[in-house]
Amino acid sequence: MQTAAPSPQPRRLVPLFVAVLAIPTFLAFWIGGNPRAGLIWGSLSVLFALILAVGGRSDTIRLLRGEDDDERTLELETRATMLTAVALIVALAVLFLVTAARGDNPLVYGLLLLLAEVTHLVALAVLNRRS
Amino acid sequence: MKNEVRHLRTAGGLSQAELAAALKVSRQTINAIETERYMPSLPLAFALARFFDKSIEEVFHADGSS
Repeated sequence: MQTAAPSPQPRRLVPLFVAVLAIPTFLAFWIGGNPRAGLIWGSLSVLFALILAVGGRSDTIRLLRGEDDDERTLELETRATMLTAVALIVALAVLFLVTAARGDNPLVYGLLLLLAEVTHLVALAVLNRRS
Repeated sequence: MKNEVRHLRTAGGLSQAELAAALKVSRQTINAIETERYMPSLPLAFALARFFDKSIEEVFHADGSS
């Protein structure tokens, strides 16, 4: 019998991924004709990557890096992801209502809410079948 | 759920880090189990019991008794 211990990620993998996100971020703003905003948003990504890379003594940073992964950290990650999803869905619902109340088209927020609900339903169905 | 992990570990002269390494979990997870902030999965509970050569009932007390 094995304990549920996922393979720990290499220490630099998550910071590197976050840092690399700065490139498409900058490119998107540059294509949109606003490279200055792209630099600012890209720099924020790099700054977050640096915090992840050098924050070795913080347990939370180590959790974010996936360094000491085991069944408990996996459970913490799952619960944190669930809270993140709830926060995003509430924000989308508020934005949907505020946009509609202003007389603007809330289609984007409505589609994102629809995507969240469909994903939730599909995930429930798949997980229910597998367990 | 109360457990005997800290008692068994210290009786065996082990540090939390050594027990964690033996069970392939983090030291924080051993600490969380000992302080009853985290209830281990069944596989990890069995692994702990086997490590100390005890039955699972001798390590974990479902009724909260010590």
